[in-house]
Amino acid sequence: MKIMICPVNGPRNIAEFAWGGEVKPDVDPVTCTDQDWTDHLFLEANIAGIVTEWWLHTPTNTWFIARRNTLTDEILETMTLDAYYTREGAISA
Amino acid sequence: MTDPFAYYRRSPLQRGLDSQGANWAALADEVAYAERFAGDDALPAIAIADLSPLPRLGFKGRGTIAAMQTRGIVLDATPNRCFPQPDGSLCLVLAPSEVLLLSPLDGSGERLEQLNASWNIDDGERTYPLPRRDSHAWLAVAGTATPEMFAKLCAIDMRLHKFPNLSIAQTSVARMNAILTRVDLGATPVFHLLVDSAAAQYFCDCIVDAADEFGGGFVGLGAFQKLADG
Repeated sequence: MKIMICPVNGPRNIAEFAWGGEVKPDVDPVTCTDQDWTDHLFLEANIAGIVTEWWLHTPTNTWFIARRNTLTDEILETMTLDAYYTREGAISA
Repeated sequence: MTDPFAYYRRSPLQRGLDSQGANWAALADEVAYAERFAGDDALPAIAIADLSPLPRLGFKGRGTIAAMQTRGIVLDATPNRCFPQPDGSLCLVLAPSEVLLLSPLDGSGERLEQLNASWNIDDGERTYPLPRRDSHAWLAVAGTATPEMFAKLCAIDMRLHKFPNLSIAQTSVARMNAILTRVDLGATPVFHLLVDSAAAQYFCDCIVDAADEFGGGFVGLGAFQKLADG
């Protein structure tokens, strides 16, 4: 059984989680082109390597961020949104 | 004998309990509940009680913990922790922004009605009530063999030394999303389960099937209340 660690609820069977897509920068639906909006909603980069993704713990409806290595199929880390944005803020500052 | 169909509110498990010979009674607010079963005089090793007819209420939103504390509910922001209240009700803190309140076993719902009525969107408290009596079925499972039974249904370790009293697990039980909390009655381990009411009969069948190995089965709310009274 594969285990994922929900940052709020702890280690759980992977069957309790749903994939939510790659983390992408927001685009403004008012000013962007239709192509950009389509890319944002539906198209994934499908990187072979380390990706940062949205995941959902379905019993609690908890959305969080996970970093995975798609080549080795390892879950490297998971974190709450607050922790992710704090880290991203620290990196971009 | 009370006819459950005489009441607008019935348990989502009403048909299943009826088929097992439940005797029905009604709470003060006109809700039919399974008061006793034929075998209640000798409690089974795992006693399952349908508490679905009892009142319950949720609150959600970033201001929920502060709003509950203002209203006199005893709790803090520790997620996945159950806080027993002085009146016998339970406050389950599911997340820093969500609580679930379960009425005392006697079914008195005035306190929850007051909480519901005290909320006003114009107050801007950043919390809002959730009608959990309609969304979730509520079961209580009591008995020393209960953790062994859960091992058949759920991946979380429910052994008593691993899952302490007043813990909460929000996880998958019998392939359904469930909220599970342990609130012992005296020396008897008791687990409360809340699951989607629309699939409650399926869930009930799974629990009864799992408990059968340990001689478990349904008991009426009356027998469960006696367990609580010691």
